[in-house]
Amino acid sequence: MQTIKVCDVSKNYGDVQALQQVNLELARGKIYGLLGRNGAGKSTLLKIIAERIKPSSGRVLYDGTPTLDDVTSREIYFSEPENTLPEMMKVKDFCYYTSQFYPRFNLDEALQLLKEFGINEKKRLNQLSTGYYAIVRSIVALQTRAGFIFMDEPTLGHDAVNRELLYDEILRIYREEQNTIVLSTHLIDEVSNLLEEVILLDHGRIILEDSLEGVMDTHSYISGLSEPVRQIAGMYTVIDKKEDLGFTTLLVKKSKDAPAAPALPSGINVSQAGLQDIFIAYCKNQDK
Amino acid sequence: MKLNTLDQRPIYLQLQEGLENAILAGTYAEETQIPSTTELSRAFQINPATAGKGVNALVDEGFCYKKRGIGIFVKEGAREMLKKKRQAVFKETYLIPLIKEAKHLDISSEDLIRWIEEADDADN
Repeated sequence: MQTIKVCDVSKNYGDVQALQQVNLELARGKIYGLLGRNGAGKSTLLKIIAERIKPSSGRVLYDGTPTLDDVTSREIYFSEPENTLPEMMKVKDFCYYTSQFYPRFNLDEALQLLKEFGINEKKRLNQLSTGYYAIVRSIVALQTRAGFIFMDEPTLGHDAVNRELLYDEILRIYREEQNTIVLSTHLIDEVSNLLEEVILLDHGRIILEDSLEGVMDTHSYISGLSEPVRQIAGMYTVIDKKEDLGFTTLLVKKSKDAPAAPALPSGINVSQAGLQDIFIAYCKNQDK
Repeated sequence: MKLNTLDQRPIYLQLQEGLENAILAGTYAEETQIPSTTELSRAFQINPATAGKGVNALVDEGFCYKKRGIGIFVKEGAREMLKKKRQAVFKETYLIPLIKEAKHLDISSEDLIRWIEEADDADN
């Protein structure tokens, strides 16, 4: 499978609109960051893509086909933070059964990795601590080596050391498989180095979708005394504005023909905004 | 080299600068191979595409060249070329803002030159 296309997907839970006309195309061979606050609709979107739930309207196309079949469903793996795995199953059996479904799963490698993490493969899943459960969940998800791996809150339950190891493992599998890995998370600064593409979801809508470099190149801070800043603000799309004591700081999106920093009047300072700052600015903007 | 998420510049630029520093310092000598995209991705925990972008920038700017099927090599004369580039960057990013700020504070060119000499003496 080469592409997954989300077409006009909406999802309502009673009165709550979890997703509103989401359009999205995921290509093979990239690491995506699906970023959003709690309740933004990230999990709902992933569940719809993985066919765990149906959308209220719209559809998902897998290489142009509207449903998954026996072959294409092996090209997708969805790892959820909720305890949806068969809890009475032993760790090694869980690995074994998953490997039977996903042909590229390397069972020996998975069991070896779990051993290195200090996990007893004979334990049942419900006997594992939160941290160990998270490790099993992540290692099995990556080891499926599926064409599209969706990891919902992959860092949940991992301590700082294990998160670092998890990031190494994500990149290793990606280098070996050149598959698509979608990381859904709110720990933005931590995962930003892993990403190639960024999807920002808020209140059930996609509000930003671009390559990581594209996002970083087009957004910046502009600050200085309020009056000169106000005079040039019209040249940009202002995402967020802070005004205090006669000074103004804007987080702006530049269009391609916006003037370069040296062309701006003196006393105005342009600086790069980080992904987390950009994320926060968009979410605040949406709340207004 | 340390890539820093808190440094807000794009990671590929930080990587490019780090590789340039290594070439300037002679860590990667001329006509020797620099690390592969895979090695850089692993060592610095970054997306291979980002690593590739940093390396390709060095190729595009003529400091390195590709040997098909082998890897990326430092060009002969790259150190001298790099020094020139970085001197130009120095002028742009340090000197011009310095002069702007000096003017803003009514510091004369004579004062500036004298201070530079004094600071240089103190450093030696």
